[in-house]
Amino acid sequence: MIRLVSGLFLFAVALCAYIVMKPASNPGARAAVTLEDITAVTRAQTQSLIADVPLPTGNIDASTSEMLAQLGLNTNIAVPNLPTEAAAVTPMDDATASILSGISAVTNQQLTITPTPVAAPAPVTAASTFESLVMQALQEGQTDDFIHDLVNQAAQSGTISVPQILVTADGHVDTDALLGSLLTQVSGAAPAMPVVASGQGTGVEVIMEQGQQRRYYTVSSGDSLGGIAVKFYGNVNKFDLIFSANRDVLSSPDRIQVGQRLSIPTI
Amino acid sequence: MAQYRHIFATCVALSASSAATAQTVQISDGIASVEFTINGETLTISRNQDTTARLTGAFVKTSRPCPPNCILPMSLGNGIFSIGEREVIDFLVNTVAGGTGLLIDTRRTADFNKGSVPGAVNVPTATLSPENTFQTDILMALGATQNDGQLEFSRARPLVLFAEGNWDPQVANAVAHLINAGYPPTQIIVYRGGLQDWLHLGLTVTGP
Repeated sequence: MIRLVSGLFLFAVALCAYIVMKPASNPGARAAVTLEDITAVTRAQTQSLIADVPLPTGNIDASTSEMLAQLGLNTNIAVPNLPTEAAAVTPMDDATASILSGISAVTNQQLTITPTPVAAPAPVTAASTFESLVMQALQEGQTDDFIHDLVNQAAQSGTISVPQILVTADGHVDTDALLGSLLTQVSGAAPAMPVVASGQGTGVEVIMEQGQQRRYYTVSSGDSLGGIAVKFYGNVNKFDLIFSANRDVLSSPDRIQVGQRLSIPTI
Repeated sequence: MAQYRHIFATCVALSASSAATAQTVQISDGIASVEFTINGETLTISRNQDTTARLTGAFVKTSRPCPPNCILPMSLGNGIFSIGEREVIDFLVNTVAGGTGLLIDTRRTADFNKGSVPGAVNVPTATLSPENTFQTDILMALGATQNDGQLEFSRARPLVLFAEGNWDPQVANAVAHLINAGYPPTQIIVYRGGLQDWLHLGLTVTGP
């Protein structure tokens, strides 16, 4: 009798021990999935979402991307000759370049597009990163202020190099001029010649000299050469006209200073 | 106990090796997969071995509106005829890997990037249209040469063109653009089944 009772008692103890032990083992199994694993999965999902957002690089005018690619590379070079109203650049040029590279990969031919200076997709340079940084921010629907801060921070940390003509007199990036230029290119509209007010407080002077009307503009802080070109010509690419006309006071496109009086050629 | 484990391991090894040598789903009797090299890259075409696999997504639809998705005839006129998957594979192994011919996916680039027949190049139908300022460049990549401003096609490459399926007008339009530009019909072949038929046989598709 007593053996039966003690046997049952031991069984009960064993059963209790099992019940107590079993739940304790599960949290141990769950803890094997770490926080790192969860964030890794989330990051992978976020990255694929970003990858799905198409950047409209195909619609950027070739001269703009060339300008951004060329000028950002080396701040010591003189202003290059940019292509003037070049051959009509359609969104097909990037598509064609990739088609031709696909075909040449199979047939081992050397294939290039005949019309110049349309080139294959611009090489990934610091300036291309600048362009894609802004394009991505635009794509994400960020505000102008956000883009301004984003670009200036990236420039300060050396992540991107900023085209000289977008460096303002106070050492920042003229994101307004850049955004205006990009939006004009993307919309495909021909930039219109703006009507610029002159007189007190505008910084713009219109003077008759030797029977010819001449305009002068006094640089204020926040102005960049690209921004001034947009202001007077509606097109950031026309900065060259202003730069050439003022070589005596401008050693390089990024060295404009507050208070400088720049001659604005009439075109 | 130990001797059973030994026998069991041998059985597993035998069945695994026999699975490797005789696949259930082959391309033709004795040919389970096909390899070819394009520009140094080796591509393999084989079939999905899951005998319960089915088409998914848009490719299961039977009745797309016609027009524009009308049933494609087997011949698109001018003596241009259609081929099937076995001929496409032969074309890839011999003509494309040999560097003379091209398998052309005429769909839009976004669709091409999601997956296509291995070894195909993407030439979207719109780029073959005369409205594309670069049409001439593409025709020259396909073998045309310029003679006094005129295009000449004596060295035009043999092309096999395809699109989404046997209802997709993109391939017919691409053929029309080529013919109108002067491409010789003898060098144009159509894989009428397109990606839908390719997938419907579980054949390999390049990933995104």
